[in-house]
Amino acid sequence: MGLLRNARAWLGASLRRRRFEADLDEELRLHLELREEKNRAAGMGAAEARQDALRSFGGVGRAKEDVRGVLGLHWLHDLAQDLRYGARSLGKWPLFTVIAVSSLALAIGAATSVFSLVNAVLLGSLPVPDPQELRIIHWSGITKHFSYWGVGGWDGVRNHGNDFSLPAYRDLRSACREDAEVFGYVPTYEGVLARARHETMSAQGFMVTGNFFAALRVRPLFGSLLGEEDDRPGADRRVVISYHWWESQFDLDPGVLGRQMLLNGSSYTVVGVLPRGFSGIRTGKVPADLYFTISAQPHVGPQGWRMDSPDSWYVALMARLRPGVRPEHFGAVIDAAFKGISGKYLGEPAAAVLNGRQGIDENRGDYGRVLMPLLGTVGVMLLIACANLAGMLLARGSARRHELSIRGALGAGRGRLVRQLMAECLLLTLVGGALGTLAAGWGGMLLGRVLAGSTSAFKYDARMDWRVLGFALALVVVTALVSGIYPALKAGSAKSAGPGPMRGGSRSRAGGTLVVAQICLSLILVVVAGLYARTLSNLLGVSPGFSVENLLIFHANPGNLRMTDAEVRTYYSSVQDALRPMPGVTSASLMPYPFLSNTSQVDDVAVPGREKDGGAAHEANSMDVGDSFFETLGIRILAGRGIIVSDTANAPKVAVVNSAFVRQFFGGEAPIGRVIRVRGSDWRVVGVCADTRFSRLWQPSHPTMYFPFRQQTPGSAFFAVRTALPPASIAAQVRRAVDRINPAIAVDDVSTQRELLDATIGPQRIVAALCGSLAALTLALSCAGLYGLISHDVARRTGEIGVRMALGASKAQILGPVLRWALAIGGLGIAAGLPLSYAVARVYCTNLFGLTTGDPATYAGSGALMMAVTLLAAAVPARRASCVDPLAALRCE
Amino acid sequence: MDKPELFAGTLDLLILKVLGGGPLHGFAIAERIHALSRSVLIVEEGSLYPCLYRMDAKGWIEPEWGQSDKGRRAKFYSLTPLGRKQLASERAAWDRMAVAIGDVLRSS
Repeated sequence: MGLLRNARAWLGASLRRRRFEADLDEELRLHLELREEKNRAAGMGAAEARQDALRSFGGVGRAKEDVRGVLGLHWLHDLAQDLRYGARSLGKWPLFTVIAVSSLALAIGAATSVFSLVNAVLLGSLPVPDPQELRIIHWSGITKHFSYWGVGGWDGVRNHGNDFSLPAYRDLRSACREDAEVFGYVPTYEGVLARARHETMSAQGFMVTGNFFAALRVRPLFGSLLGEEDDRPGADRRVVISYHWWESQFDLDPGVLGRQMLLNGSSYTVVGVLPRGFSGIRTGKVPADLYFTISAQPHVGPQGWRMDSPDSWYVALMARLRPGVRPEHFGAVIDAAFKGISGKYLGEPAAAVLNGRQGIDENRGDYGRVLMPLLGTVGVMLLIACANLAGMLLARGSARRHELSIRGALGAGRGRLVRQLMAECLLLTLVGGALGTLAAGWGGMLLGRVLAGSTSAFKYDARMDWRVLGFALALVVVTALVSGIYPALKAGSAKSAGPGPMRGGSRSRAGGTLVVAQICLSLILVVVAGLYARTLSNLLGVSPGFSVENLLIFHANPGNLRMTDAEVRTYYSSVQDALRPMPGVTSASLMPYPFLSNTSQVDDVAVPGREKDGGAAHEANSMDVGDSFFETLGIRILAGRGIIVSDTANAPKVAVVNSAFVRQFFGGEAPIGRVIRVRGSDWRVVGVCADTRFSRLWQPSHPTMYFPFRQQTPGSAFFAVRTALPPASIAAQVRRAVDRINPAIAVDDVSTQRELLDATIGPQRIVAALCGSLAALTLALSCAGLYGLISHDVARRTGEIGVRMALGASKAQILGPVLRWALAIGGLGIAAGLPLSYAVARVYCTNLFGLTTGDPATYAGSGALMMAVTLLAAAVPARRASCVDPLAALRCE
Repeated sequence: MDKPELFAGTLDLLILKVLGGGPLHGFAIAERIHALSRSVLIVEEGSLYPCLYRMDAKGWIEPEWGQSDKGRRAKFYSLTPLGRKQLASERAAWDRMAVAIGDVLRSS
């Protein structure tokens, strides 16, 4: 109890320190005045009365110290004094302070920004209660025969997946009812055409099992969530909407419950709204907006889907462990149950559980691969900032030797001096860290947007939580310790050393080593930035084989409106027809997916008569395109013709292939008129077009076949519109015109081909920009370090230089050693940095284009740049040394 | 002038005792001890205040700002219930020790 009371007294006194000190002052003053009055009453003179009062009290300051000591406040008092003194002394060196604080702010800010993303992407948990109880269920085995998401063809292959059939879900759920609640969901990968009020949107939908929300322990914002009773055949069609959907489609209308929505043409009743914080179980993805039960499948799922068949594996399973159940135990139970039911479908079947605390995240690995090297880079940058700060503190320590030796002579112990210097360093890092952390909130957001690229949004919640703030604080403390301890100890021990400027001789070896390390580290960043800058310029120099500018792209999705192929064809034709006469439009055509969008469809190809050449069937990219496709994209036709209007469903089946296809499948023979066999039909080649870059700009052209969309119809289509005006200026008109044709069909993903191209080279652009700016920054820092080191050395040796000049040394003789020293430092840094850069590049620079990680030009250029910068940084102080006036220098002695 | 040194720990007891008569400020505590001891005991004023703060931290006494008899702001200390208990036990301990020391000194 006493301890508690003490703690409270201490805390109270610490928090209200100013008040506490004032009270103590007043209390003691009253005492002295009362004593003085009493003395006067006893007949003393005024001065004598006061003297006696002070004497009999015996040291007011001492008494105050004792009182503070009683409450354990003395170290707080000392710290405050150290910080106050530190602030005053830093104020005397404004340039030093500004450079130190801003480099720390940059380094700590950059590290904290990156960490806030690491925190969100790699460390975040699902926003549900007790997420650590969640598990993801996986199967593995040799696939026999079943339809995995409707796609077969993997028979006899060892496979694994997260999707089960609906009957398997029911069996597994009841088999481990004791240990966990198994639940499932099916993302509608194609999206759902949803119409809340006026316009049809392509929304992300989630089909869930009836126990989904109960097992996740999600509570509705209002209304009700789906339950077991909703997951029966013939149940009422109900939908739960996300907060985002409520906001964007219903304007936060509190009367939304009971409203009807059209999903893929069927009517659904809104029964509940999810809380704002619930972003679904797939982190890093656009969160689902609409939730309905799997029983709703016939209305919203893919057409003709046999949802209850044990042959259709499509339900992803998760589980929430019951309290006290060990995950290994649950894994064993589910494995045994799975082995019992899956023999018909899998050889050597097995089921395993993974931790589901973070939910399902397909992007985490990708982001991790970018974020970890980035974290490494900012870590290196922080090290440079530390080294730089240490170097500056060392230089400053020797410049302050005079001051420190006086303080030492006046009785400040070594410990007190070291503590004082550490307090200064802590003050610098605290201010730098605070500024950096402020900037990091903004930097993390920006970085997330940059990393996600221009077309998709960064869907992680990169907020500044306690973990990020703790990280920043830890960085501050570690930085202060790492960069402060050595300079403080060195300066603190210098108290007996005289201020003598004649000491000369040995140069600061520690300072030199630091600068060498900095040059080495900045060289690594310069090399990496150089490699990516060259990659980027190579990529920008690539001709994609079609015309990128003035090409508007949008997506029209008839989704699951249960239209027949003929109806979809008619719709596509009328969209083409509506677009072509629009003002500003030169031509328009359709395709199943755009070029350079990281998408491709691959089909097996057989060329009758040449089967034996390539052994088994070959593969080629395939695209179902509209008439005038090649004119719209600007792809040259090299022989024969392109796809035309008369290539209808009833006309002979035709195909156009590219040059790469001709080289691979016809070995240079004349291709026109030949037949290729694809998807079970024979297609006659009627034309050859030029090669283009396909899904990514840096991949070489791949054999590609183009088919008329009227003979083979894609389920949803992208339209390319060649414009005479800037594409953005007519995007809205185009959208309205297409909406009018069939309002039930969603028109979305409006972009331009230029944007798609930029997005595909986004990663290289980002790394080049990031490394470039980091390299510039560290280069500036190491320049400052070198400049400081040499000018400090010159200043310290002014006396010596003066003597040597007085004895007849020429300017060159003075200049020479200084420059030689700088060259040695630069040379050492570069010599160490080049092999290190190569090692780093080998590991991290995996997506270079048009050059290797050992590109000699980049290394030579980077080394030369480093050397030039080193000499520049040394030249200024060296010139100053050669201009020393011997008389003035000697007079200073 | 030869003044007896206070035994270690006795200052606490004396302060508790004089505060038993009602709240007092620091100067008055020193004066009261001086007067009650018939001017024999002089409290070292420099050590009075650390002692008061320590006793406050232990919860034996409680400070409160108020008006002194001359109308000035002063910090008055009063005994808490815990302080009263402490006074009783320290006083009993003191009595026992005084008797014991007296016994030793009287023996011949």
